[in-house]
Amino acid sequence: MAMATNGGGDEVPSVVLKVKGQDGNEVFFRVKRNTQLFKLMTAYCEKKQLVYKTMQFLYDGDRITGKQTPDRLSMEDGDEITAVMHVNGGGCCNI
Amino acid sequence: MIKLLFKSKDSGVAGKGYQNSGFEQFKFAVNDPCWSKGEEAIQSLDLKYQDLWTVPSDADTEKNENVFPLGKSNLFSSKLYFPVFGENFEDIIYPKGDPDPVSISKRDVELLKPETFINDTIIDFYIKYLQNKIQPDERNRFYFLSIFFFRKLADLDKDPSSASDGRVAFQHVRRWTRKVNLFEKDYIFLPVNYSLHWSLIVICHPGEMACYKGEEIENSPKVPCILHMDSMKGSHRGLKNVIQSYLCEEWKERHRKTGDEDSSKILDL
Repeated sequence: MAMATNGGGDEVPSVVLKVKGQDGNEVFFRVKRNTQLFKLMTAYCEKKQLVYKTMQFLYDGDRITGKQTPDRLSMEDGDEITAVMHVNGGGCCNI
Repeated sequence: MIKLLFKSKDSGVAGKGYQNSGFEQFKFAVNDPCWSKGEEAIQSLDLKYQDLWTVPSDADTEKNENVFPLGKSNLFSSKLYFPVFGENFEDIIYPKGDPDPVSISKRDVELLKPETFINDTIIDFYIKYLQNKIQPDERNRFYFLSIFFFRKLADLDKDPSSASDGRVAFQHVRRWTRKVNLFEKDYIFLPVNYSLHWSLIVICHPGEMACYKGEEIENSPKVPCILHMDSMKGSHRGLKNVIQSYLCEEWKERHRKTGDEDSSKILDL
């Protein structure tokens, strides 16, 4: 945010991103291109009443970490982020 | 060194003076030539591991011999083999500096305890770890699909029945593979999580399918095929079709003109 202070109305450009949940519902967010995506992800969880720690967010299949920004991932307007819950499973060992 | 104690069924009736008589002891050494390397690799991830690494040496086990009948021993308890991490456990980012790193939290590490289900983060970490072991000049022969690829493809969360419609399923993951041509790869690894169980699908030489002509294939070292490795045999049966129809669609997408004819061969695999 410090970057935006020099130019008065000259704000950092923003991007509209779509977060698609496992239920198929979509939520749209407008975020500044240099905002860490942690903010978007926690906002999504809050809105959907999900626990952030149990969720994984993917952009074109790659996992997103909270510190990444739309700029760093070269995101564009309308790009889709997939929200999935962590999955687990077992196996079988033959002893 | 692995030491096993077996308690025979009738040991309960053994007299007090023969407390250990009901136990059969098996002791054998496991020799893994890569063990020390693996140990180093894990320790190099975080300094904390070096302090916490407490694999008992041979000397220790010898000393404790005959001391631990089952039940009283803490040999199998998580205390000895599984370090307890304090509150200040920081997430591990692996590999550092990678554009798509895995972030492992304390919660994830705790899933490594015995008799616990492991989650996608652990599997992903191990895949990254293996990937890093591949020689750099060999790396482009292999491709590891995301843990969530299959889930998304088959739309397991919403409507699994629609997965039989290849075109619909393909649309779910169309953008995921746009940066990579799967048909140039020798082996594609696809971890599958389905009904609380992990298995692995390996697609071998998908690019050879176009030149696949029945008998010739037996003489070729590169046989296109789909392998499904499942520790619970048969529990993930039927998933192959989903992969086949996905490959068909992916092929059509990449080879717009000749697609249909060749892609039908995929279904013959």
